[in-house]
Amino acid sequence: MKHKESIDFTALADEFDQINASVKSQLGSQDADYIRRIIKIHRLAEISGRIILMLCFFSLWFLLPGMLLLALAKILDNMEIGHNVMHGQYDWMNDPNINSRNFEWDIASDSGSWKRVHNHEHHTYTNIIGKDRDYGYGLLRMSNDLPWRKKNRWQFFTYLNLSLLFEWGIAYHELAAERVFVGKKKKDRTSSLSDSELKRMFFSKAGKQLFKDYVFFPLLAGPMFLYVLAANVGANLIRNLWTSTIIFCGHFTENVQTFTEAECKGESKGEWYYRQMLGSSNLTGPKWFHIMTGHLSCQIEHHLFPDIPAFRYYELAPKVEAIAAKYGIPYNSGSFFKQYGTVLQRIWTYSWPDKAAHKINEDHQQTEN
Amino acid sequence: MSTPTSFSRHKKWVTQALTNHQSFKAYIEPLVQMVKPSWQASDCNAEVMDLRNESEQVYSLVLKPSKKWMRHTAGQYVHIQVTIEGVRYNRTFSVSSSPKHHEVSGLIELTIRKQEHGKVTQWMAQGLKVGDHISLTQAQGEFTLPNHQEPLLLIAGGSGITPFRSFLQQLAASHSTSDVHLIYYNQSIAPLFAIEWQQLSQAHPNFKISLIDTQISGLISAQQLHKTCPDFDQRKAYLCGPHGLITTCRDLLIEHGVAKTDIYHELFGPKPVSKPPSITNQNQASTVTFAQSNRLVNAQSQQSLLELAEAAELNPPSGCRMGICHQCKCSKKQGVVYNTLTNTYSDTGTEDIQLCVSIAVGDVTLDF
Ligand code: FES
Repeated sequence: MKHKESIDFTALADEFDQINASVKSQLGSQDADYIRRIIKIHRLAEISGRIILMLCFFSLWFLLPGMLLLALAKILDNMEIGHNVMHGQYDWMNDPNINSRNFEWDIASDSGSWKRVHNHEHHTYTNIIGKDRDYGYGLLRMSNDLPWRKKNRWQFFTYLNLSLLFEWGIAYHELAAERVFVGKKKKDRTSSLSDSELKRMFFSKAGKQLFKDYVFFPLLAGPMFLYVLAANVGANLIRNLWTSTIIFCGHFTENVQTFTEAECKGESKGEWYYRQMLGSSNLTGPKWFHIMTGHLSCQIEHHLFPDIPAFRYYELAPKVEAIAAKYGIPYNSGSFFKQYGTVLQRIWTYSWPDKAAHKINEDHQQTEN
Repeated sequence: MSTPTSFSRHKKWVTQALTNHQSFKAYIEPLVQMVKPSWQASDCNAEVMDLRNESEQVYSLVLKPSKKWMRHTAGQYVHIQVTIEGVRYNRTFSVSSSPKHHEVSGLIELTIRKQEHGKVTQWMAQGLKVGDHISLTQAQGEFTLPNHQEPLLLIAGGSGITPFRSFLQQLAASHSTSDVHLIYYNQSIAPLFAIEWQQLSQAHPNFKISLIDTQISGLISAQQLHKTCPDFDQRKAYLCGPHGLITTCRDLLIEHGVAKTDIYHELFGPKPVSKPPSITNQNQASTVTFAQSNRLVNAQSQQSLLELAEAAELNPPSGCRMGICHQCKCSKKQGVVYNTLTNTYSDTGTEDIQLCVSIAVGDVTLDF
């Protein structure tokens, strides 16, 4: 890895700006057809899943395919459709149903809060400790930037819980970011919404989700209420585990770096690109895998170009990797199991004070060499 | 017992809870489109029956709207939507045929001028084929044929003739005896529907139609008006055409004692899209209209619309201020903006733009 000082950030910014502009000028029917096709698959999976669950009246075996289809639908909705649409990747289509301003997704948090925290804070201040609240979600110590505390000893357990309840964690996290429930107000909050509005939106969306999965459809099943309820819980859990696992692979693998606020003050566009590359990591895998991750498997490309339709990241990846090589910037990519292994390791490592300190010293030596 | 309003509120809540969409139709739209590609949850559908050239620059689109489309009143317009390269564009056109014609044949006509740099009007002339489907809204607009029998003065310029074609066809088809005088201005090009005007005035002595070429007879003036239609100040006036014609004409009529309440007008057609001026040497000031807040602001070149809105203390939502987070999205109603991130110009019609990376090119109207 080159020293930061020796990188020509203006040239780097130019290269990435050019890629951005050239892809944007190509956007057209191909992208529109793609996202519409995924939406069709989502609808088919969701509707057939719900219907098949009702058939458990005849045989309990129907619960399994029904639950899996529903989980598939939720994953597609959250990852490949919702997350990407809400980033504004398809706004140029001018279709009100595929638009970042209107889209609502099948998850506990309401799209408005999510956009405020995720699109702005996480994507602008990626991995800046203290500004990017997505870094460890305020629950986990994922680097030595935070001092070790006793509760970190349990953080592996905390992590497992967070994964299972991920949608609720995220929904709560967004409001916590605004300090709606407890604590002092942030001075520089950008939102013009009052606490009561934020709370109302939180409860309104959460209520709708609970009603749908845990009241309406189970009731529709009549005597099979409990079975359908269980299958719906199952589908939500599968989705939670999957999304949290993929998201952790994007920012918490072994080599991902963190930054301080001071470091990033007045940074140029080129430095911003640079930080995005160091703060993210990619996963390799077959095409279906990329779709199921909503192309967050190309987290680096997503962070460089958050509003380019995600299915194009895959073809951009080699170009980005070549640029990384040219400028001597690490490009962190690996198979799912390899990357996930390092995530678990990281959570474990930073659970303990001594090991962490030890590890940092090593890291420092490495960068110095 | 719940009232109907609370019932519909509950229905809406349940729909949102179950589908995450505003309506169940919108949720199943992608599935219905597998069978009927042109189906849309909102708006109606219309089949293209014919595309007829009226002149080199102007064509009429003959459409057969679906049953969902109600009817129009002579003079009203519709918004139509076409998809070009995956992008949906909305445009507004007057219906140039009469309601009677729709009653009898089920067809309506839109008469469209190919805008010089207009993407949509050019594309439709080439890209639409008989049998294609487009979507359109119900008819709208207040510039309509009056019910009374009083004498009318209709003044049109260029493509502003389209609502009047609907007026006259409707009057003719309903055997009206109203006294109507149409003055149709053109500049050195043949008037649209020339043959129809001839036939109409022959068949209906109560219709008088004057075609004026401003190249030969000059722009509208008091003298000219007196000569063409001596009793013009005794009539209810309807004006449709470009901005210049309407304002001059209106002032003239008022000067000659026509009451303001007897003058109706419709500004016609999008302002011609001149080739976008290059941003760097653009020194003409443009006006940005914030429609919801009812504010007009003069734009300095190079200033982003976000900065402009903030300077006017309108405080739109924003985030990264660098084109990444899409928090500053706002619907643009009209006008061209330049995107400093992609170095591209926008379309002229309705679409969402990012305020923080957009600069106004000419006058722009924002829905904020
Ligand atoms: S403020 Fe973030 S895109 Fe405009």
